[in-house]
Amino acid sequence: MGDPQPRRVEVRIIVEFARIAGMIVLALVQVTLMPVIGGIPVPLVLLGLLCWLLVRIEMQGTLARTALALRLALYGGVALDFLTAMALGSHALALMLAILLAALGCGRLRVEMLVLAIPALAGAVLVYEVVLALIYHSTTTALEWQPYAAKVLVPAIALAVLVGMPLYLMLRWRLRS
Amino acid sequence: MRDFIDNAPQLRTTISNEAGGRRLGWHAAMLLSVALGLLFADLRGWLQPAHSLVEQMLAPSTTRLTHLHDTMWDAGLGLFAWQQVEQENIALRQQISQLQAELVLREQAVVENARLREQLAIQEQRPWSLIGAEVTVRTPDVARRVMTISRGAADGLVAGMAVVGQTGTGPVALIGVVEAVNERTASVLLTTDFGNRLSVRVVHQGDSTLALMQGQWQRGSRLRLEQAEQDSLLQAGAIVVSAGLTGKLAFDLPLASVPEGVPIGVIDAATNDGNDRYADVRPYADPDQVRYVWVILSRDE
Repeated sequence: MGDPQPRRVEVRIIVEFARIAGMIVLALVQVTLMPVIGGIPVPLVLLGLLCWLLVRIEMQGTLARTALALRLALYGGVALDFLTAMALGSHALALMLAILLAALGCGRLRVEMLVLAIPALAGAVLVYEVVLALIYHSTTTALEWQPYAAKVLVPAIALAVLVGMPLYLMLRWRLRS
Repeated sequence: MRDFIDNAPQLRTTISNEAGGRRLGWHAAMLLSVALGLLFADLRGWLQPAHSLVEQMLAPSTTRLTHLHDTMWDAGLGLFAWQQVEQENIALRQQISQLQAELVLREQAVVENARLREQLAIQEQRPWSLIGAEVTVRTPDVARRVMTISRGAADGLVAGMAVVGQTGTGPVALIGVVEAVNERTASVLLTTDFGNRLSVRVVHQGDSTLALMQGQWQRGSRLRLEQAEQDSLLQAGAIVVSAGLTGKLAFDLPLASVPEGVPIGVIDAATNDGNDRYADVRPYADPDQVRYVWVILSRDE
């Protein structure tokens, strides 16, 4: 059977590649299969990662899985950047900041996660879209923030929460059972 | 670092302490640095070849998946549709589409003093060399209005070419401009994006004026006209077509010229804000809904 240590490294590499492949598939689903409602796309990669992390934080009572979520966010973000016309790193940066801030916020508050999930989802989507808009603002065209916030960000957050909550509840039920 | 991830349950007692927090901090800082590094390198153009290559490799998958999405969407809609009504609806839509297309062409014909030219003659006057392209990736987030299409430099596309499409009952109309070109794919900046500005001609009751059109998605709307030479022509119902002046006026834009006479939309409402008059435009073709587009390669004079 050989030395178990090299096999462990192999397993790690395989698991890591599986994670990368999984995030590429999730990104592909986001940009192709997910419906665009009223011109607003659903940020599936963000919602999937965040809901999974929220359930993990709730189950383990720690932020231990945040590091893995950040790494997955990097994979998913780079995949999204490759699939779209955005500069490489844009989605990765937005995803990681959104997930990190949401996780830190949830980790610090001693409140039932079911109650925290909605503000966590809303806050994460807000951070995600604002970071992407800032990149657009600084690299392409200056935005007018007030109408952008009122007429684009708010509907985007509402839609993300509407889609994210059932996803969170489903993952919560699945992982806890 | 690996143990930190693999043995998470064992870290429950340690993650909340200073060492665990510091470890997470380092991990986050490292990954954020990678993202920032990628962003910096790509904005400098260093990663463009890799970007193009991967995009090209993924294009077949994205095309098939987008087809699948459209098929599923149609199937879902079909469940609620009454077959006979649907067929009648399709026939009527085609008729309306033809009539609207004729209307646009006739209005323009009046402005150009062509005097009762027939539709065929108008088409002969504006023969565009087109190439069809499938939409492979629709806009993935709310920050920008862009799409990726299945044609690239290998098909003769260059940045600045006009992209037209058709939705519903409207005529074939401008939906965006080619922004960046890879070997087999291209990204299209949609007309509704805030960064998209074009010179247009407003046609109303036999008269016309030039104006500037800008996308309004990031402001919560579609298209807006402003800086018209004759404000009085900005009235509901007026037809908007491209003027083809963007290149000639040398705007500081990545967008090159778009041929004149490409239908864009119709004015919904005009507003006076004290000093200026502006108008909201309803596009003939909804850029978010098109599935197949045509790129205007050239205009044969």
